[in-house]
Amino acid sequence: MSEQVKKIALVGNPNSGKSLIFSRMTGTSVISANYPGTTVDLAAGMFKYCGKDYQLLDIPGIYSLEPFSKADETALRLIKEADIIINVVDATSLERNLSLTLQLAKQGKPMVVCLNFWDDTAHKGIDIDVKNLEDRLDVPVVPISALRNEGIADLVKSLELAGTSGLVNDQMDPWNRIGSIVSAVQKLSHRHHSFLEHISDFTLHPFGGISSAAVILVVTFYLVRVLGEGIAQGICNPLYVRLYHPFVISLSSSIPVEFLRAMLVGASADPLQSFGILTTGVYIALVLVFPYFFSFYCAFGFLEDFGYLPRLAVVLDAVFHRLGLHGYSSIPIMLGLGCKVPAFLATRVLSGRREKVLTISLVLMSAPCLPQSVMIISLGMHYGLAAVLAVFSAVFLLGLGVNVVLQKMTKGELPELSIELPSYRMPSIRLLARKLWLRILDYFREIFPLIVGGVLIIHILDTIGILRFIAGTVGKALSLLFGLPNEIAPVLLLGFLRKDVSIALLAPFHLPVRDFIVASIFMVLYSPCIAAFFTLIKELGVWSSLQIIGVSFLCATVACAFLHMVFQFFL
Amino acid sequence: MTFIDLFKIRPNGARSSPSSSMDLSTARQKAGLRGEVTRLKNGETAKVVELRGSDRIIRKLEAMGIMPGMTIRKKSNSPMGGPIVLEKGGMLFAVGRGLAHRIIVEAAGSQPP
Repeated sequence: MSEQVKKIALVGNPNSGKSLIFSRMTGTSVISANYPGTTVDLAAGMFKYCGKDYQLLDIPGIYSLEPFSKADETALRLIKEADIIINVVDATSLERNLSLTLQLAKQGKPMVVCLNFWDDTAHKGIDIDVKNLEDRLDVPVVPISALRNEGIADLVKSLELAGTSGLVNDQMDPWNRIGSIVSAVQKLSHRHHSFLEHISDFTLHPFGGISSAAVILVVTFYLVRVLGEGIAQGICNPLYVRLYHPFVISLSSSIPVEFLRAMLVGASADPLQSFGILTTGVYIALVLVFPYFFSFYCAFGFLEDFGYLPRLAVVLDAVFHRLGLHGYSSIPIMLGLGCKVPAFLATRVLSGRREKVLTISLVLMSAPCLPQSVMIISLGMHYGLAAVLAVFSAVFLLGLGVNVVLQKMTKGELPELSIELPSYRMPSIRLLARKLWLRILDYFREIFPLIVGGVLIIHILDTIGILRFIAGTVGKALSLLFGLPNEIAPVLLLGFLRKDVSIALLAPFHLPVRDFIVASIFMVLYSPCIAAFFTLIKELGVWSSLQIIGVSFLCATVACAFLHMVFQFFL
Repeated sequence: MTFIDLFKIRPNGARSSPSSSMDLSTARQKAGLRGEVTRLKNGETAKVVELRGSDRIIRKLEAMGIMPGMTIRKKSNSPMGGPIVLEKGGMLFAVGRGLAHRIIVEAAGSQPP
């Protein structure tokens, strides 16, 4: 009989660095960032030590063994299943972290305590006597720095010594116990505010907070644009035009089957009008969207790891109260500017159902995701800035409108913000690069099958004549309601697969500006893309998801029909 | 004084209502007076004496380490009824205004904790 693989759980307060330790120990990569609630679901990985296999579980951060949210429930269930607990403690806030440590000790499971952020203690004037702490907690204590990859080997070695703490039956009041431990093992020396702490104070100051938020957001979007444009014009476009396109064309010219060739490279030389998988599909994914995807997640990754997002939550808290929410919801909404899927997942740290529904509807409806935004901007700029602004502001206002309606429909308590503000940390370039790489991999893993699949479906439908049928029925409704040409119908339906592609497919229609605005708004709102759709169902269940999508669809229809009417009367 | 220093401490707790600034000055004169943590001036230190509200709210605050007997410092408050920022043992917490009204403290002067 083979020995069962031991399960080891990484348990600790939010933002104590569990995900990074997980990556370091298993060699598998998970996304980490500097805000509480980065991990909302389980990540599991294997590692080997002394010929034995172990399973390591990365668990959402918790403050105590009581569930306050869905992410907390996941965590508690997994702790019960674990054979050994690695309690990850933020060494720079020993006192607060020990509360969970004592609760874990009382579970009576073999345990090791690891003091993460050890490298930060020195310049914060914190001196911890590790040996003494080990004696008092009665379990191995290992100082590490996951950020600098120091002490991980010691941590793995210490697992052999993991034991049940003698504190399992401790009768003393936990906070008195913590007080006695902390005063015995930790010495604080006075030190001056560091530069980063001055910045922290400034970004929390009433005036400084709002002005810095405005500056940071404007600068971020400016940088995203400049960097994205630079990559697109300087690298991707020349590569496509000079190398890739001639290569693909010459390669495909040897394909004897006309139908196949048309499907792969299309008929037109214009990459946006050919409808070929290898031309239009690749052009949109690589030349139009990817540069901005890259630059957005460069900038966003920095803000995440620096620790800015929770401060933004503080600044925006008052605004979000008007939306029936509190400031933490700004984090999913920021994520949603990139992609809706991680944004939906991030709502798991919210405690109430109503809160979740309101946040998800805002994520879904107040702004398009990044690939869509890029396409709306790059097509819309042909009509002028006003057209682009019209699309974005209409979507934003509709999102707010739906929020107001939902607030009325679902009466409930106004949730209150309570969030720990992590210290600002200068992000490590290597970690930023690794995270960006993970996101790029995800992008390509998802984008190519869906683009290829989408363009393929359009082609097949076109050949067997269904396209004409759809254009006839759905198209009639479209032209009646929104004044759009019949042939646009299949493009709209394709949006379910990939919204950026479907917006790009508007290009060959040469729509007048008002139709472009109406079509874009409708395409953003009428339904989430397929990935977002299934994530939504996972998060809220089928019924609520369909309700939200229904509201969104209804809004899109009514608003676009209304806009069309207004345009007809006044333009 | 650097530019950033200007923002470290807000001058005379602007924008708090007249009644609360009255309470504030009395609180400072007689250390030991009770009040909501929102009434503390920025930079002032106080001891938590009571958490009001539902069981759930109390447990949530306690889980974060804000509980009776603890010394906390108010760092700042945000305009328009936004959250207040508390410091405890070098950690920063942002607590929504509604939640902050439930944290009752006893003023202990303005020396650092």
